Amino acid sequence: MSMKATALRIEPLADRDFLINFVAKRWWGEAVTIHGSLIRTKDMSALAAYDDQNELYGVATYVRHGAGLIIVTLDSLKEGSGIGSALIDAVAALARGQGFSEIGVVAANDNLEALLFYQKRGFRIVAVWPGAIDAIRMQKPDLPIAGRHGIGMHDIIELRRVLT
Amino acid sequence: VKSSRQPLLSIDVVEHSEIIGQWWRTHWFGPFIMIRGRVFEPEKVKAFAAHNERRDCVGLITWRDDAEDAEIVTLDSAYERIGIGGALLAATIEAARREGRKRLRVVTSNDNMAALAFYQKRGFQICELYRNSIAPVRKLKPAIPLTRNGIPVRDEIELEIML
Repeated sequence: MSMKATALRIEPLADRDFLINFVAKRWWGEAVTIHGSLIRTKDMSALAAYDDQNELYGVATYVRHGAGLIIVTLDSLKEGSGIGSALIDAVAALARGQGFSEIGVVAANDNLEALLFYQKRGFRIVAVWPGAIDAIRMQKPDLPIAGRHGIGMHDIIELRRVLT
Repeated sequence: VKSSRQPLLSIDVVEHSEIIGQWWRTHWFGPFIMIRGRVFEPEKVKAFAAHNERRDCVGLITWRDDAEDAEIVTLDSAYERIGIGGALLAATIEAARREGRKRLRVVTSNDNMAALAFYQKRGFQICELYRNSIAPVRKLKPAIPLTRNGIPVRDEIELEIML
């Protein structure tokens, strides 16, 4: 364990071009649907985690929705080092600061790692949106069907954590 | 898994509901199953058992059907990743098709990533969420753990496949 979590710095990611490129590369493109509305990366906010050498360790994107903030993507560039949790906590702190009572997250139906990760961290499944990714695919035919674990990507699962 | 290690399985119709009741007691905390608030007793379901060459029962699937739908009630295998679950599922799909059912449903709980992977890999799609539906089941079966895999066991997630 050479990484020291204390050396991490989390701050807003201002470089929009970098963000759009980063999300497009690591995820399926530049938009997601939440509650049926298409949200593009350019309309998302983002937090980034850096170490003291300014090396990027992780990125969380989020949007405001309803009574809270919804995390759209979460990437830890060093697995198992607590960066994902730290970014979630940072989004939660932001939400609290803005007077929200919960944070949410959306995951594709094939992303069992995310379902496990978020549920272990206090998020509860609140809704499933069958066919939500298929609907995005109508608008973005380049969006692949093949997902993780040999599972087809079709649906969005929404989770929420109540802020205490 | 190397093919040499694949057991020769025979998939057989289970004729006696006592076998189902016994299996459920061992694997499901009691002699009945509750799904989406409905209680199912061994006499009310159909079942296939998987037997190995030594005639040991190494897996069991129970299911029911009416009108357009068939529904898996339970699926267990004694050993993972050697095709028992897949063989039992295939037998059930074939039987449900033969009965003229149009859809096969199944519910799992929110902590069960293995089941979500198993069914989705085989073409099932998530169709419904029943939030907090495990609480009434736990009242009847207090042995159901509060958490599994570090996750509170709370909800039923339903998947379906068109036959």
